[in-house]
Amino acid sequence: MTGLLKGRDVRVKPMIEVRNLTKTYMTHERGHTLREVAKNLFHRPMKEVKAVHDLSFTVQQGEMLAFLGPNGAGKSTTLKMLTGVLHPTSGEVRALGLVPWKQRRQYVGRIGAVFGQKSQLLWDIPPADAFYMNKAIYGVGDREYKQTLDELVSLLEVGDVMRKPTRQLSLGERMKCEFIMAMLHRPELVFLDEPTIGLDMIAKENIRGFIRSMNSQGVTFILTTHDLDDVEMLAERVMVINHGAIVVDDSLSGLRGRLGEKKSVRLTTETAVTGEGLPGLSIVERIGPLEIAVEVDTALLPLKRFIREFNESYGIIDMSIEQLPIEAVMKELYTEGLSFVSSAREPEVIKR
Amino acid sequence: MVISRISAVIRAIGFATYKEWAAFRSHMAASLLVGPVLFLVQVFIWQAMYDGRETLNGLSYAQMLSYFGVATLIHYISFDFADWNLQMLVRSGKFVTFALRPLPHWLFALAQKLGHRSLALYVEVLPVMLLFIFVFGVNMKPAAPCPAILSILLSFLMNFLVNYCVGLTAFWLVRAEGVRRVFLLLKDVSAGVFIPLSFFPDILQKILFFLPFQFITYLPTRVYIGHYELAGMELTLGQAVGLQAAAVAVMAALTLALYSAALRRFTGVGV
Amino acid sequence: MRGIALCLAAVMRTKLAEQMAYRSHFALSVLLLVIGDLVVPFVTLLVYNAGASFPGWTLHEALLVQAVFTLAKGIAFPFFFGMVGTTLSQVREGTFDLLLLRPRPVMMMAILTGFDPDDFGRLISGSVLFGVALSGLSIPSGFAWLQFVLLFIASIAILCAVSLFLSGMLFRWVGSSRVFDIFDAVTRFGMYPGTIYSKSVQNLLTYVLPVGLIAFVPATALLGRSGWGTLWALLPAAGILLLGGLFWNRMLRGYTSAGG
Repeated sequence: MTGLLKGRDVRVKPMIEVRNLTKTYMTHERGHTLREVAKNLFHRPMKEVKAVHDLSFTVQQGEMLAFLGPNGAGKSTTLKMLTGVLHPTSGEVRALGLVPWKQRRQYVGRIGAVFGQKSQLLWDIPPADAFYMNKAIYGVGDREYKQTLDELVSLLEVGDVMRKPTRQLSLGERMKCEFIMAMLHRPELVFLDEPTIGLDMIAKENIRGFIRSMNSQGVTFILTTHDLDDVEMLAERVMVINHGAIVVDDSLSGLRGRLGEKKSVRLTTETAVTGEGLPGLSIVERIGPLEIAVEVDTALLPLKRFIREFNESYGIIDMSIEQLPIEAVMKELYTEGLSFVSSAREPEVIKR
Repeated sequence: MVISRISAVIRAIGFATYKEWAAFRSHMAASLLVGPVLFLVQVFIWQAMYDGRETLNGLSYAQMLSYFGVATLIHYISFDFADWNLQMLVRSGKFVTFALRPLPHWLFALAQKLGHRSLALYVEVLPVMLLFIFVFGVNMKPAAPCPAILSILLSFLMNFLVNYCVGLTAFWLVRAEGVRRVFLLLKDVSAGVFIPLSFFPDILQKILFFLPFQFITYLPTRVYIGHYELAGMELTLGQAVGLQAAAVAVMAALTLALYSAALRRFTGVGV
Repeated sequence: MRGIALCLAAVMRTKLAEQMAYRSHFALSVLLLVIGDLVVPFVTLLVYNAGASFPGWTLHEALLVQAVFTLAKGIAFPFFFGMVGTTLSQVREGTFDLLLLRPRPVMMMAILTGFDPDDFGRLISGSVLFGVALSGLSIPSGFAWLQFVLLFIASIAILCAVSLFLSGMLFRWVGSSRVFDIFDAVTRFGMYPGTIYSKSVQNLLTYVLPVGLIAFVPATALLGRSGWGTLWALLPAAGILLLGGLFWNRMLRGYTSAGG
């Protein structure tokens, strides 16, 4: 957290370099009918599943990268391989100059991890005791430990909380303590797996603020999430993974740009809107007899013309115009993901 | 009408449980190692104990082996962990999903037991029985098939009822997993799993006669072998099974009473 | 080395704190362990009371074997056997990965997180049994005690090896609590005087699957029935410990390369 490396020439050497990373595993197929079940008792057919297929990318020091993708897309598998927990079937990873699964002990001593659904705290005793245990496991010196702990505790405002038994803490307080647990040994690289899952808005804000401030001190973050607010408020770079492959690797604004010039419009009219009629206009939802939500592609249908024609035909009483939410991009990417051709910002990295 | 609906429900739950367990049949098949190995130890122990004597506690060597062979099989047939399952549901708050179903949970649990025990029948019971007969040469022929089968079925119910009652205590004692485990261990000792109850001191035998545990292992095993006695009382097979049936009925009434008390507590206090 | 000692101290401290959070629970599980340990000796007592015996063994001598067995568990279980339970639940719930994120040898982390103070309760039942057994025997010589202590170390090594085997199995055989039954079944041989087994089984239980070393061999030494030759038994103990370690690491590799 003291190492301010932001100003350095980041082109020198990437922090993480992933090439052709692939993971396949075998799984059983299970029957449904009585006959299949009975047959399965003696023989279970195996099926090969490609969890991750040929991933290549690099991450620079100080970046904040978010993995997005539907459930089962291969995000967790990728994260496990990047943390050295899982061996890949093929491909290479160099992170912090090490191969995670080969030089595991050296590597994990320099990274941190928070899993929203896997607590590292001990349920029946205060987080402070669990911190103390990690201090010994990571071999953190006394003075360094105290200094880091004080810093983290004041940043996250957990003070007394960490002296209460974990089971008595709220989810938000617990998650803050999970972060302290993961940061005590001052990792340079931190992996977050759904770090804000289940939290209320205020707790989410606290956690995000903490991540941002750590990031500004030079800590690199890689997170997976289903919460698009996490992405909007944290990540500079988004990588969408679907069916085990990278669908998009882009900045958030770049991702938005893919929507084209579409606007989301909500209208209340004097008479009911009958049909679409106009090019570049599609009805999203009829909210009431006189209320409607539509999508306007301003490349085909300029707003000025849209408003004029609608006012003449139906009489506009009320109207709100918004950008299409990021959800719309995601939905499109998740459902027909592969049809999107990637235009990554670092094309040389992606070798197909 | 009602009966056919209930039996359809039981079949459906049983089949779902059967499938659930089939995926973990290797866990069940561990009995093929555990059962025979434990039995082999018994064989050596009793071989040594019978050195130079014909009978011990009124049982011959062959009868003693039959006792442990049959007790092992009955253990696999009537095995369940309804207690663990129920207390887990209560403690984790998942019981509420059962309180919302138009089916009492005990019936659901019984259907589950029917499901996984019917799988156990040919994954555990049959192979172990064949091993006992052909490898160890144990006499596994029931003295009288009808009372034996009836008695095993009653043992199946009795074990369920006792375990279920233990599980029901979770509505009052939330963190008492330790107590329950002590109780279940004592249940096995008092049921005659480790040694025939006739080895116990007289006063203990008299007490055990009136407790429900002997009906789980000791009595059905003795009925299977063809001769029942405990606390100086000898019963014919018919009398023994009748006694067992009465005990199961009493236990069932107790279970239902405890179940409705537990539900009242659940809806009243919201455990 | 110092780092490891510090880790152990820190883990023991947290585990004790965890136990103290539920003192009544702690007391109960100790009670359970004591009762559980006393079942086999109780059955032995009943059989001897019925007039039978293991040929060549008095009741106190037979109980001594079971007492040594319980004492060995009382020392090996808190330190090693807990890892079986933690691997069982952690692999099933997917939290075992968290251990892989620690900059320490995974085996050490698995053993540390499995540390289980409850199991020290077995020392109570073990000591009581040991006292009862010795009360009916003549006092062993210093030589017998020395042999006993050396062989007792071998006994603990074997229980440690068994823990590694069972825990290792759980990487592949996910979530099966049957490993505990397997442990009970396989080690049951070791709770009785080895002379009741046929000669071939006795050899098997000493040199191949050395469960006889857990209690029977040390107890025989304490009874003054064996010479220095018995100490050869230390070899299979070391061998199986080594094998256990290799097996565990092999299964772990399987876990990290298959995983998911």
